[in-house]
Amino acid sequence: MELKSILKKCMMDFLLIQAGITFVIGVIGCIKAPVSRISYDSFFMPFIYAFFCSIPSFVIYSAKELSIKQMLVRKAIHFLLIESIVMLISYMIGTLTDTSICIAILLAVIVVYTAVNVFEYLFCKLEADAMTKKIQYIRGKEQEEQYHV
Amino acid sequence: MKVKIRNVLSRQEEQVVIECVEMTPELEDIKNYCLAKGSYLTGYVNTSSFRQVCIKDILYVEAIDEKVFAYTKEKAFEIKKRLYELEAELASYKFIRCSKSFLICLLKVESIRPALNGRYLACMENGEEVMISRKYAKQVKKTIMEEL
Repeated sequence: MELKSILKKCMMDFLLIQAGITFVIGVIGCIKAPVSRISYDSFFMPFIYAFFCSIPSFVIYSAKELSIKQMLVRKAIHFLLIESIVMLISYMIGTLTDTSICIAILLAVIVVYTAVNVFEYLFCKLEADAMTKKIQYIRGKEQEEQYHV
Repeated sequence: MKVKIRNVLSRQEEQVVIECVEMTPELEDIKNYCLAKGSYLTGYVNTSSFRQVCIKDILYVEAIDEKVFAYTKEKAFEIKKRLYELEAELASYKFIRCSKSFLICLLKVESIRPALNGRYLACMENGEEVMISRKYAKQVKKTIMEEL
């Protein structure tokens, strides 16, 4: 795959992760500390998380075509790297105060990672369905034409 | 029977029109001849035996090492041509490159489903699935949606 495509994909990942983390911070905040106030620097946290979580995207890319099994292995490594990075950043900024927060963050990463992959799959499925529909239409037309010949 | 020949500007416009009171076996032969004309490839079953393979029966073409094989619903035939040559030759039959070593006939695709990481799987008429690689997915999509 070209470098341009990889960078484009990284940028997409960055924006998706950032949106996901912002949402998760909001949800966890509402549940765990609904009356707390947050400072302006908290707004930068999703950027920091998203930036470092985009870096492992390079694990998924390869110059040659990967088999589905190879891709699944790489996805698993990718997920573990992201999970580790998120925990490390959370530990460094002192967010991991108790076990329930740790579990909430671990679960949040699973939810965001799954959501990103599900969205990607659904987007591809929409495209695949549109292509299938067009092919079936053309095949029907061809058969009709052959019948009339 | 009268025969009229009219010159046209492009190959796409070329056609044979049969005007008849009713279809007779002779006219049926002419029709079949016209439909089949120029649409065969020489396929080798082994080094010594070969037969003419109708292009309309080919589902996909695969290059394995230095050899190229054409797959119909029932059989596979070796074609003594390079994949890029067949790509150009079969383009008018709606064949398209879908990965480094595959050409698929879009009219023989039953359905397309997503595979991992931006790739797709094309389910052919014989039930086999051919990978549409990420590199060629964009071109395949463009051809299907705009040019087919």
